[in-house]
Amino acid sequence: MKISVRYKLFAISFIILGINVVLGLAVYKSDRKLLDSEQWVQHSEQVIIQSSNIRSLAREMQITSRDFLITDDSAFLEPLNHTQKAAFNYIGLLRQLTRDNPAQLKLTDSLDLYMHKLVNYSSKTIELRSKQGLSSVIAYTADKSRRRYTNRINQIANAIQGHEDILFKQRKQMNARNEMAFGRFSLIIFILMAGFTILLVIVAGKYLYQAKEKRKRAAELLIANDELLFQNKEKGDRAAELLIANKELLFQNEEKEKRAEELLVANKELLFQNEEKEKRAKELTIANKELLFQNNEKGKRAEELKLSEIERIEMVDELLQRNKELEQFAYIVSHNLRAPVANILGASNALNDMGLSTEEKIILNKGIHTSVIKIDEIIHDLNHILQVKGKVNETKELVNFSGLVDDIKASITHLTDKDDIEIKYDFPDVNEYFTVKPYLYSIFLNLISNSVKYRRPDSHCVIEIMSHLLKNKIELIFSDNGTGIDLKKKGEQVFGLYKRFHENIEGKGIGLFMVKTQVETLGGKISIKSQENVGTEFKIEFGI
Amino acid sequence: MSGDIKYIIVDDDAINNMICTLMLKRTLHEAGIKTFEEPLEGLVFIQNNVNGLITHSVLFLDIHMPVLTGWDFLGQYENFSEEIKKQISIYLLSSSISQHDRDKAKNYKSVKGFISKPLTTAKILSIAGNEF
Repeated sequence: MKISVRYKLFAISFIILGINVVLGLAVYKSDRKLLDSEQWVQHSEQVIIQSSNIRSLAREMQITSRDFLITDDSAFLEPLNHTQKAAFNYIGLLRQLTRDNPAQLKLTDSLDLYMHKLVNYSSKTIELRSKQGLSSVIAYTADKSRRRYTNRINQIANAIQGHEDILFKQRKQMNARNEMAFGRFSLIIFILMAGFTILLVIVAGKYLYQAKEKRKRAAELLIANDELLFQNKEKGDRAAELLIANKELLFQNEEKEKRAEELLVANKELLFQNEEKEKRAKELTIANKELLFQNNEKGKRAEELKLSEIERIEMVDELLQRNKELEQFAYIVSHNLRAPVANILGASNALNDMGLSTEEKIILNKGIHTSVIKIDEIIHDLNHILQVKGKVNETKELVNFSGLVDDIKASITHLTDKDDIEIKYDFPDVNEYFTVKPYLYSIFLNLISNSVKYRRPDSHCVIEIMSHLLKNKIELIFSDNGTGIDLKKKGEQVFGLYKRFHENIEGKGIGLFMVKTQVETLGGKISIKSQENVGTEFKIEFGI
Repeated sequence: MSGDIKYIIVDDDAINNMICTLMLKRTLHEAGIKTFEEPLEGLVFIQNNVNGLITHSVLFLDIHMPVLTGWDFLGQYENFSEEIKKQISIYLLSSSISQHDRDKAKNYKSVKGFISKPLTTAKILSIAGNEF
């Protein structure tokens, strides 16, 4: 632990102060001791002086009392009394001085005793002198007591002096020793004090230098402090702003907490819903997998079914078409058969019920005959149609188109020669087709006949036959410059059985029906384009 | 023979027309009968002779005819004026025994009846009773 210089200085100062105090006490004590020893020396001198005084007084009392005794002069009495008092005074002082010394005190007491005896003796003598005269005194003093007492006092005083003299010498020696000791001690103390003081000065100087440094630092710190103060003020301003912002934040925080609580509730709700959804999702996932599997199965099945479905649709379409045709066929046949039958019925009714003239009967019979022939014709037609429809699997062969047209041209020369009729053909792309030859022949013949039949009488008849090879089919085009037909009105019926559209032209309404039937039997399609007084174009398509 | 035409027959079947004429003459002793094998001629005749030869007439119309069918005939007839239509009662006379044709006939307001061939005495009397 580092102790600061200041504290060190304080500590050293206190230590020096403490030592000084101790030293002071020591000096004081040795000084007292010296004083004591000096007192004792003085005391001994006093004792010697007093005892000497007492001895002198005792002699004076002897002299003074003798003077009175001789003279009986009372003038001598007063100094005697005075001397006596002084003697006792000195004895009192001596007692005072020797109270600590029992041997001297005992001697002093003895001195006092003999002094009293001396005083008493003196007083007795004085009394005797005054009252009985000199003679009684002389008598009384014969024993020489006075001398004895005085000697005794001298002896005691000398003893006290002797004693005290020894003490005096001893004390003087001691005092000298003390004096020497005190001197040495004082020197040591002085050196120590000087040393400590120098130390203190050094330490203080050091401290002062440091203090100066510190003052410099303090000045620098003062500037820094000012700077800090300014910054603090700035901070204070900022703090105030922050306080406001803090309040704002606090408010916002509260709002947020409210929101948070609301959100918490909403969150729980969502959590619950999510769980529900997850459950559902899991269920759905399982169901989905199941569905996927089933879908795959279905896909496989669907692909399998697709092909058969296409086949089925084609088949159904074909069947529907066939059915429609058959219905139409049945309807037409029934109607066309019933027309002559109805005539026969009507005619026979008339013949049976009414009284007719011979002429009328002949007419009716003719009508019946005509009707029966018509029925026969129709039955032949039906037979022909049914033959075509029924025999789908005729033997197929490679048929040459140009050869076919040439054959037909040769067979109808009676028609083409009579009128101005031109038949042209061009088969550059494809001139052959693997098919049932009699049917194709019939188709070509019927279409050519149709064009011849419905030619425009006022203009040169041109019939053109062409073939085109397309991507997956053969196209045969038959075009003429004949009367044409209004397809908007009659389009549906062109290929119908027993449909006729022209007055004055021979026809049963079976040719185009047969063409269509045969084309379809061979797996082809036929269509028509026509414009009245311009011409007609038939297009036949066969798949390859 | 008065000038009025009371029965008009439109049918491409000549034999039927002959039989019908005979039946009408024999049953009603009626002389005002006109027959048309070409429907278009029938239409033209009606348009031209209203308020002349035709005052009130019964028209027997065949359905299945080439070029202009009975239905085509009716289609054109619908465009005629109300004055003409008031004077003509059309009965379809067909060899058809098809219900389809009978149903189709109901769509034409002008058609008053559908008669199946042959035309008999009973049928003639019934129509004559209604119309005259």
